[in-house]
Amino acid sequence: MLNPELLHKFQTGQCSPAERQQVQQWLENDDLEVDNTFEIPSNLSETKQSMWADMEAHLEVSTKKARWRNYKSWFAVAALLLATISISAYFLQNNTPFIAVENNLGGGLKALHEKNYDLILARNSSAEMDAETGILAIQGEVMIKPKKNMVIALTSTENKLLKQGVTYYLVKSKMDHAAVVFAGHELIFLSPVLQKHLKFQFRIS
Amino acid sequence: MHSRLAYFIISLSCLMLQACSPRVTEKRSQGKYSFYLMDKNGKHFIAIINQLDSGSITISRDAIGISNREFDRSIIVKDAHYYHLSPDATSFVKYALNTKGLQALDSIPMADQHIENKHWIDQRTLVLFTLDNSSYTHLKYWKIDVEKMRVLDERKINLPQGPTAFPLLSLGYALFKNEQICLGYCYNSVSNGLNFNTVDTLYNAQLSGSDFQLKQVDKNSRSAYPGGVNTVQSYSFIDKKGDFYFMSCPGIALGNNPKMPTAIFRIRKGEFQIDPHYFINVSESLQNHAYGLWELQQGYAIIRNERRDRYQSFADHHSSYHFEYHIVNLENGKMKKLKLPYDKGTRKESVWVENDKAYIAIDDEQNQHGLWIYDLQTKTIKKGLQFDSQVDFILRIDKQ
Repeated sequence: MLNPELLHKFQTGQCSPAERQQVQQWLENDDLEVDNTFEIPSNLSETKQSMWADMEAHLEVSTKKARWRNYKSWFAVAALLLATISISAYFLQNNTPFIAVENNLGGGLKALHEKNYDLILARNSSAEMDAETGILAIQGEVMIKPKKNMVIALTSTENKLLKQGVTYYLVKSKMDHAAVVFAGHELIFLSPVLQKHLKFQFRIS
Repeated sequence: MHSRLAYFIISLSCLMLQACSPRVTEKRSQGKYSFYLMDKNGKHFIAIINQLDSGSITISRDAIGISNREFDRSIIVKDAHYYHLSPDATSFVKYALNTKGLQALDSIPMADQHIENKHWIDQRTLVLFTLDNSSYTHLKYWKIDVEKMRVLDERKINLPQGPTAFPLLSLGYALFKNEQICLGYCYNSVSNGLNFNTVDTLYNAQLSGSDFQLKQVDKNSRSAYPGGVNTVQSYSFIDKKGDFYFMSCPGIALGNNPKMPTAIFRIRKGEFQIDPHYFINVSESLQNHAYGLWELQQGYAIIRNERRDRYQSFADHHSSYHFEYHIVNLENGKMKKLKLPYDKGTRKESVWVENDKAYIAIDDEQNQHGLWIYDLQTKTIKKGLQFDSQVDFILRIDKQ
């Protein structure tokens, strides 16, 4: 089971091979459990490097490494080098440092399909994703579906783990300090008035 | 010869495989009680139980999985059948439960509606009150023969428009009397984000029982948000004397007008208006809001109240362990807290009363999920049926 200490060790490169494998398994497997007392470390923005991007880099490298270990070693080394170069290029080119999108359409939804997540904005909503800090700042109602497990920062001190394949709703009005995040299956606990509103906003029957 | 030997070996292998494989016990799909469960992955299950006082249930072994895209805990259970709106919001469907899940038997068209309240007129006649999914203002009445799945009566009900700032309607109770129907309702507003609110008044409309014409609307400013969606949780009941009790729920889990008090009101038998001399101020007594009201025995009810000091906001209202249960003396308003672990889960149909016992489903901080039994005679509490730790929420208990 993943816990904050292990995640911190992973982030700072202090994991043993077994621990690293455990984190990587968690990243790849949507069904593994997370410690209920799990709290994402709050120093995300201070690391100057997004934990989300950091995990992603490790995952990409490790996946390819594990797959190619079965082939001839010289090919594996060459491939690993190539993969490392490709991933560096990917992060330089594709991990857009800052994405800002807003939806002022008169009733329609606006979708943004990124490599690591899909975003859908209800009308009169906006989202800003800073890949450096992991901060996802939103206004209004935003739906996000991560394609990999990821950590987002709602503020400089409030972080949230989002799991691969789960749909999350982020809701925030101008007066709120930070967005409130609900997994899709938690919507039933919201007030019926809010449930109706979100269903209407996202065209859910 | 060789073929006989091969046949013998194959047969023997089959027998050995059969003997070695674990015996799969059939999941129960018919029984006395139906429990609606959510597991830790957000998946939904129905477990059929015959015994509430003891025993243990394991989701993987005993419960029947149902689609969480198709169903939620607002499902209606009656006489071994289940009723729910279709996921595409086109019809109201009758289901039977078998070991594979809920199988649709029949349906009636009910496009773009959601259910605000239900009321059983008799064993086979169900009344639904619905609102449209676009404006949340057009109230409809449906009288349904659930045996034939036929609409006996369908009509619009015209309630007055709300204040301009509160355009949405919420229906909190429907009280059927011989010649009249009383409807408790309120008006809400919602803008973006978590900005929603309820007007500082609750309303009791009196309609003619024959033609549903509006006869009178009484406004009551002592609280807001009367009752609630009773397919999710109970907020009212008629006692043995014929008096009707309901609770208002202005806390953040329903009305979100928390400066108004949660309170218990009464409409006496033979009356159609809210009793002006009766008012139990729950918030004043407990310094907290409550959601959920169940009759316990004559003169007593049980309520489920939140603890404001044990949750942060909307975000953790359902996941924090902060709910308590209190017994309310309906005559003098005195309240007694039941010694139970804190429960989690915003709005649950978690109380079942039978044979002088109240069975209360608790999802506690120790990851224990099960029934606690309050004996009305001895005033003692003990543990009953337990569920395994894969359960996250026991969302509703019904008689199947």
